[in-house]
Amino acid sequence: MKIVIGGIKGGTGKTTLAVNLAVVGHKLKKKILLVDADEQRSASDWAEQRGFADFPTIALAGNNVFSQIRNLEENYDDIIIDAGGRDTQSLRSALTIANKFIVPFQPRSFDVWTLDRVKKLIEEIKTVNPDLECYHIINRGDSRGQDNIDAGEIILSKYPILKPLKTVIGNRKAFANAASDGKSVFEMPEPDDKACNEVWEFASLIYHGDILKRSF
Amino acid sequence: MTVKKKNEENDQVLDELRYAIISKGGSVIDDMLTEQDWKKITLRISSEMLKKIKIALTQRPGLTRNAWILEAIHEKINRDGKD
Repeated sequence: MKIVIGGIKGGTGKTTLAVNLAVVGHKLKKKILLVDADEQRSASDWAEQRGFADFPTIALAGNNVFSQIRNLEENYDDIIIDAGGRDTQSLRSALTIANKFIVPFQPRSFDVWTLDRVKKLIEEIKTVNPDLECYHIINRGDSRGQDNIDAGEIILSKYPILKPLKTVIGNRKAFANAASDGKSVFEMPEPDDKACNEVWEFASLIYHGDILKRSF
Repeated sequence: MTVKKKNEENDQVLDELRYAIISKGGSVIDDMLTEQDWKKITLRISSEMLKKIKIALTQRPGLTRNAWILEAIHEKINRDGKD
């Protein structure tokens, strides 16, 4: 399965989700390839920090995302592509061959407005990849208040093309701390249990289509 | 064999459509520098210095190590009045 995490808004935590999803996949004994298709190369920096442990990480751009993944895909169970936060050739290239497109967003109106452009992009991509499944997830969500619910409802009514992933990733320092160490939240000396549960639910929905009982 | 040839032709047409859609996206670093403008160098740096950078990064969530080092270089160049 080829999973793209992207969008057209920066700072929504795409790399954080991508690297944590990759680690969960590895822990579930899947053969994972992490592809860094974001010009900021944050996933590559993260992988370098962990000594490229557990699964390979490669950086690709433009048409190479599409052509190289097509050559490599039979060697892996899942390929996770961090495609960055702009409408780039790399993002489009990844989407033309992806199975799932995950769009994280923060529950702020500015992020929600960018979804008009995401919708247009998806409609264009579906002309060559009609089976692409598209999802949104609230990332860096508020721990309390109405914003998460309001944003979710707006997306559900205005952008049904982006199905909801029924979990929320909170705005937790644990994610930044783990990322700066080249780790997932599960690999920290004292893992933040709430962060781990959130990532588990997210990964479970992506890999299994449902929230399964946490196994590590 | 005819069927196979037809499939290959369809694949080729689909690829051409894919490339057309891909080309509408922004280039990799079109707002900044082209790929050719970036050079990779090997940086020899002590473990102790790396640890200090790691500690500094904890104060700047979301910033990569590479970005932090580039920022430090920019600061030095600006401070010395060479930019």
